[in-house]
Amino acid sequence: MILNDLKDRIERIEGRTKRFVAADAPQPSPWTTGLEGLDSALPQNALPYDACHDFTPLVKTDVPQVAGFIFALLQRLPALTAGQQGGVQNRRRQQRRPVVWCQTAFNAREYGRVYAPGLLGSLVSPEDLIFVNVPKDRDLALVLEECVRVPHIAAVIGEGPAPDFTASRRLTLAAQESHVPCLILNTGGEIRASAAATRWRIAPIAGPPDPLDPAGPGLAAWSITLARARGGNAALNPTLASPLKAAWNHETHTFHLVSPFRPGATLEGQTPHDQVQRRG
Amino acid sequence: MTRFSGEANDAITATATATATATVAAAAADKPFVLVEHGVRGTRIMAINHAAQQAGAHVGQMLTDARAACPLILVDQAQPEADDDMLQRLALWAGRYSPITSIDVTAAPDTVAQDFGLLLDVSGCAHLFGGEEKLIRDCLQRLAAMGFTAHAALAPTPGAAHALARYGRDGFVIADTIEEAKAAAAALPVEALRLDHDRNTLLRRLGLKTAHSVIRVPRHALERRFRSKSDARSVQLRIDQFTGAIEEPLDPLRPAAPWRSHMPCPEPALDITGIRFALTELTARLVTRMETAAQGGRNWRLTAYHADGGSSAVAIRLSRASRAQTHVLRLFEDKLDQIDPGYGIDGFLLEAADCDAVEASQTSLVSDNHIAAAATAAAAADEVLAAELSGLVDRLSNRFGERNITYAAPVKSHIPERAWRMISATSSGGRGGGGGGGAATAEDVAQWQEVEAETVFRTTSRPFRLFDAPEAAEVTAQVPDGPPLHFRWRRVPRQITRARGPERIAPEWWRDGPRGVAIRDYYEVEDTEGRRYWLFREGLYGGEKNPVWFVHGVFGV
Repeated sequence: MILNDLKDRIERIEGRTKRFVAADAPQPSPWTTGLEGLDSALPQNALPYDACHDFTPLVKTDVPQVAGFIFALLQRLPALTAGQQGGVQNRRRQQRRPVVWCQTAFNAREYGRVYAPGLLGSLVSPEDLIFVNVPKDRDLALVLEECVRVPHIAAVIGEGPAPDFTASRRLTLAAQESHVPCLILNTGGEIRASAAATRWRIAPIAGPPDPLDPAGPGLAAWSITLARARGGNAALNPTLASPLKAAWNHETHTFHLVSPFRPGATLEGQTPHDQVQRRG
Repeated sequence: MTRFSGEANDAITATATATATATVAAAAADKPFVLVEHGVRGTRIMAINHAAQQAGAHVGQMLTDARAACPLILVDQAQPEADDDMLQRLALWAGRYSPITSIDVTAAPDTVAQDFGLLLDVSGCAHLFGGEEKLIRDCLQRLAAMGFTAHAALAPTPGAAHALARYGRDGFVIADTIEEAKAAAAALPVEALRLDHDRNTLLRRLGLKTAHSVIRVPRHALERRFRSKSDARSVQLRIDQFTGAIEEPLDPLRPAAPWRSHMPCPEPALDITGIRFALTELTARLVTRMETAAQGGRNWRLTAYHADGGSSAVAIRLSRASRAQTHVLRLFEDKLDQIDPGYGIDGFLLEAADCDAVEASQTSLVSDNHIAAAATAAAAADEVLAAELSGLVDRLSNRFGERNITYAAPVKSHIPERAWRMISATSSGGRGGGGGGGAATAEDVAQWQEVEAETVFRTTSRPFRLFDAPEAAEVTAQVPDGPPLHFRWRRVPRQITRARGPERIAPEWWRDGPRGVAIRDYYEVEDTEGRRYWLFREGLYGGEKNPVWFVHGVFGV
């Protein structure tokens, strides 16, 4: 006991520890989607931090919409949202962990860039994002690995052709060391062997109307298939039978199941509209 | 004049026979050889070698005249651009003697050809080479080895150094004080004063044939001899520059870095192992010195001086001032292969510029007082995390270029593509000083919050993704000014189910952009598949041109 303590101390003095976090530091709160059906299929009912996650659009051109889904998941990330609860003051004081969004140059031209003023009002504010423009597709894996190795980063997003199996294995190993999740938006159009812990197939669908403007465009909604969840319970994965349809409420920052019968409403007997009013 | 007491300038005249023809020149060293330029008034000689001079040719002569005197003369085309390049490279190479080097090119007084030279400010540098004389000898020796015929002079002012190097004795001249320089000026022709052709002729006609005689003339007497005051002043200026009455600052090729460490190699380094060793050694030296001064640099540059002349340099840029040796070495590591050792490298120079105060970093977390230790540990943890992040930014920026690693800052504009700008994550200016290296600062947060407060007044929301250039779309609307019904974009027809808008964005008429100054009406639309787009109509109906539609962005969340 004493010996371990001393060893720890020596390691810390020598700067050998990866992070200045004590062994008994509180575990980060779990990163859940908030959808029971999905969470139950994930290992320990949450998205693992120390892993790669692969997101592939069902239709190749739907990259911006799938990026939107990833962005919604980011807003569920406790590391980013913790500071928001205390309001403006708290947000200013707290040391915030950035998100690195890596995009290949081709993707930036073809599918547009993340537009910082468009992020206002979400839980991930523009100042938290570092954008990396990767000139060549083949450099993406290298950039992602460099980023994943920095424990200070909250999450790394890689948008481009998915790295091959070896590269994804390396990314996973790096993530296991640093506990920085790596989200890969596979825009290559082909599904390759990957060491990713979870693999998702996403397609945009028409969502329920915006509670504040029913005639206008509705909420963002996706049809979600969790094709693989390493270490999760496949028996409890409803998306293997039929894709889960969920909408994102940008007011409450939560996912809601979309009713297959009344596309205008979400399940659980309440529309997003009710929630907004209750909040107010 | 006392201001120049510590200063010394060293001018080297190099008869630069251009690079491309250097091989020919070497092969024909003992034969008459000239470089020529074809002009409107015939072919003129621009440069000659010693043998040609013996044979009776001179610079500025017509080639035909020279041929008449010496039929066996070898001729090649002069390349003024290559000469300039060569001189530039030579000036960089001369950086091994002094941080302040500049190119000294003046039109030669009596000819069309140019006169090439370098000016080095060697104040405080000479002792590194064992004295002024040894410095000059070393320099001349190396230049001779490279195939240059060079003359050198050392004088308290650039003007005197220029004159003595060109018109002084063979070999080299050292004038320690301005009096010595003035005395030496007795033997110099009036051309040594860097005046133009007309003034030289006038001074000669007046009987002032040596530089010394011109300098000796009283000011008011000299002024009367010229037609205009400006003529007299230009002569007076050159005299003052010669004597040091007026300071003549050099225009250095590169500004001198505040932190420099030089390492000559006893044996030339021939491969990357040698370069790596030198770099490690030099960073160690520099870092130790910077530590005592609590400084760190943001721009680091390693220059390698080649044994056969010339130099090559690699530079790295950090997102915040640092003197962390491992970090600097790691960034250099990627670029070391850009240095081609060639025939060997006989000197290295490491410079750190753009410096800032950097506190000594904490290495231990052990303290007697546990509460204080916990507090410092938290602060240290933040510091280490921030350092890790700036390290990442540095690595990526140095590999892929600074403009590819960015963060977004708001701009006060209603035009969507102008409402933000990407700022390189390495730039500390935008990040408010200490927060450099990609970490968000309170300033950024405040700026964005200010922008966020304005969003409530908008009709349409802002998209998640924006295209660099709006993409043209064919749109059908029910009524000319109404929301679109369906549109075709990227060759795919899309049916619109829901729409919101318009949000009119007036142009910034005071700016002239590629998109012109047309009014835009933005619509947020959703197609049958649930994809949402940000469309705009540019221009108004009833104008000269029909309005045009564009897709500007796509919504994601």
